[in-house]
Amino acid sequence: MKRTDFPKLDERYYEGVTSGGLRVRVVPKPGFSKQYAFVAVDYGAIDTSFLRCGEKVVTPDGIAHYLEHKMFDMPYGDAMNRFAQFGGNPNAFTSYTMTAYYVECTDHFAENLQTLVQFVFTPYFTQKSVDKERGIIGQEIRMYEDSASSRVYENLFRAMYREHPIRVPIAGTVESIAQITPALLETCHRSFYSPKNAMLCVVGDVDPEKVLSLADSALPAWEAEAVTRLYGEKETPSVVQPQIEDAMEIARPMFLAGFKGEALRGRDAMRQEFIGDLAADLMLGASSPLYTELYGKGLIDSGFSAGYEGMKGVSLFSAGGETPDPKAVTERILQEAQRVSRDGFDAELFECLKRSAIGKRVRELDSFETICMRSCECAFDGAEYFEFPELYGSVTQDDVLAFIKTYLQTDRMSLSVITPKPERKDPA
Amino acid sequence: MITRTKLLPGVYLTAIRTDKFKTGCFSVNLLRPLKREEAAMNALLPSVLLRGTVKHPDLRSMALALEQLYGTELSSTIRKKGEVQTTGLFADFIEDALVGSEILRPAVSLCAEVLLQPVLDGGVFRADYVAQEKENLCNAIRSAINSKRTYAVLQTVKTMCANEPYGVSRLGEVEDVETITTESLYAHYRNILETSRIEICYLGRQDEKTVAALFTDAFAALPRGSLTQIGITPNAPVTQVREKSERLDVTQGKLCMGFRLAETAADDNWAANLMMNTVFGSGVTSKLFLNVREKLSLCYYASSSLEKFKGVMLVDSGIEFGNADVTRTEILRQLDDCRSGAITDEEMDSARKHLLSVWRAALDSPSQTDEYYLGCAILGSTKTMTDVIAELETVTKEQTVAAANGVTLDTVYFLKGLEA
Repeated sequence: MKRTDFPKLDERYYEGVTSGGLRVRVVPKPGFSKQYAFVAVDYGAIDTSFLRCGEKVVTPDGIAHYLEHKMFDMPYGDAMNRFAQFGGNPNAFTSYTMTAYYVECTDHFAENLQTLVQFVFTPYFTQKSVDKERGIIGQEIRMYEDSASSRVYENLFRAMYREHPIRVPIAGTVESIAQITPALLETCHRSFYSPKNAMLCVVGDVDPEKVLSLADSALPAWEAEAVTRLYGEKETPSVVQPQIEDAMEIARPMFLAGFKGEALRGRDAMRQEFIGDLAADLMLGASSPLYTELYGKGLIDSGFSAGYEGMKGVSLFSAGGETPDPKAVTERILQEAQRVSRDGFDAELFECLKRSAIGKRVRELDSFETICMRSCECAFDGAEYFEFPELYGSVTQDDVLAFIKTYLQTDRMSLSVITPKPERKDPA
Repeated sequence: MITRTKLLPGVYLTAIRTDKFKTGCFSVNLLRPLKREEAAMNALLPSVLLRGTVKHPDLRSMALALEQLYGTELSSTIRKKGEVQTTGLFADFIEDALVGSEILRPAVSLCAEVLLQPVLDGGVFRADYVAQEKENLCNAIRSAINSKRTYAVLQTVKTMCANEPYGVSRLGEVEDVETITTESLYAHYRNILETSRIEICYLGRQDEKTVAALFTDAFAALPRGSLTQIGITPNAPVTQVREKSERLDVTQGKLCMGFRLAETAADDNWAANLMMNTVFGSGVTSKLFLNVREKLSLCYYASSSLEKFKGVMLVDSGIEFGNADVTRTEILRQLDDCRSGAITDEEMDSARKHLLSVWRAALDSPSQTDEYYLGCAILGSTKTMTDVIAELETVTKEQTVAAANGVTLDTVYFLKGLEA
């Protein structure tokens, strides 16, 4: 395995590839009690349509998430039970772009790691078990439907994007998951769960070479298929609708303003994320004049936040929280963007916030999950996350101002608002 | 390496020295009896203090001071530990060694400055700061309804302990916040600064002597008087199961059940309760997960959790409205199996491994370590996390069954939809 050092971060990792093509990264953490193994598959909720052997396949919304639930089924029974035997604490999640399975343990690391690698790459779906899961996932979907913070996001995506599959909730709908069959799950697994389309990341006090050989021996044989993902026409800079509103059982109005960015790849995407985050800190962070003003007027509280995120085919700058007046807040954000574009930032403040942003990212590396997630996300995109101090360092004030000038514009913005339902008499 | 030192009268430092993390942290907690009369004031106080000090009189200058320390975070921490409410500040920051300059020392001074030198106007807190933070606190209390899961748990506890201090919410009630004035809050502040036991918990790379000296210096001006007593009233026997249901416009029902335990973490036998909770309802090896979710597909979640200071167990689940009775029956059936000893060796073994793994992993978590040792200070316990791990290794099935037999159902709460 190849060792790479990042002295600024006091981190290092070892990387290798198994004979089956699975990329393996080990980040040693001497002195820690727990071991953490994370398998990410470059397949998420947005990958519903694709070309496979030249033929277009359209799968039901929510299928990546459904597949995640069903991967734990093995010919020998439930993989959960095997982890339980070895004291492993497994879990999984599906995001718009990634499905990840992980196990945390403090003992029997070899057994837990092998169980993980085996079950992710072993498709085994029975009609009975697939049908049984519908009730559980149906309740999970209902839970999200009642969550205002999920709804405000999902609505924003629908208002901003024309065709991109990010318009659809990650778990799909009760109606869409009704169409999911064992055969469809198998198709998706075959198309996307190739070891070459995945990565294993292990963090803990472990021997890197041993991790590689354990993964190698646990990995079932596999033939990769050529698949092309379809995300629809390239998104234009303008949004579908400037505003979207919904009413729910909440205490105060909740809002999220999104500004359409430009979808980039690799190092460029990573650098753009840092530029976007710095723009958020400088313009809307706790030390900004606008934050002080809005907080002082009671228009925002400490729950207010802003940031940037990029995914395949989409990217956005967003700001949101709870407020009595969503329109007034967004209006002020737009005005402040214009003022800042004109006046710029104090050079000393810019450097201070940049240092502080790097410091926060360094501290994030205390979380094993963050290390794994960031490593895999960037690796799938052809970038190296651990280079963030250098990349951050290269961001100039001009970069940030250009970002604000280009993207924080009215015609690139949608505002998603959830208002409280009017009071009513309780019939109970 | 864990040490506990008395710094000043009624002021204690628990220092956990470790080189493992890039982040160091500390919390400064004032220990108060949990009661309606002061819960809202205790919850409000840190937010008002964080608005500004004599030296940094507004939010922006406070924020800039923190950004100068490489993004150090200083925030309010209000915790409910049984019938003790803690109010204070939590700081986390990058370790000095990683940036080659001093961060801990200025972070401690800034924390002391916030606690001891608030910006004043006419001898009391600034009226605009108090008015605004009152509004923010009221909003935070009202926003509990945004997460129906949290809301259901909160309503269960309020119903179950309506006549006990434990029924008081961590942040107090909106009505109580509204009656607070600039004068009453300032008087309360002066009073609790003087009469509260203060527990400081530090975790990071510095040795205990250095940290003790930093805090002793920074807090030299702290007024000290006779201390307010804190304690926890034991569970009374349950005479009748309380039932409560509410309607909201939701698509998923929430069934929540409150149980009383025979023991608390102050008892020697607490590890058996941890084991019982895990076998019964916590984690993917539990009876609730395997039966209520996996076998019967009644829910996405149904799990139990323990409150170790008061001795309470809560089971909460998200279900279809029509399934409330069958879910309730099934949850109680699983508990009865624990009571009668219908626990397989495999279940014991899985639960033990799960718990050991969770507790050993907690040794790697600064926030869980902070929570645990603040808890010890409140319980008067000298048991380390490693001691608990040793107990979990040997707790028997008989002890686990005995713990299950100490569980009594007190309250059943159901949140349903408008049409259900």
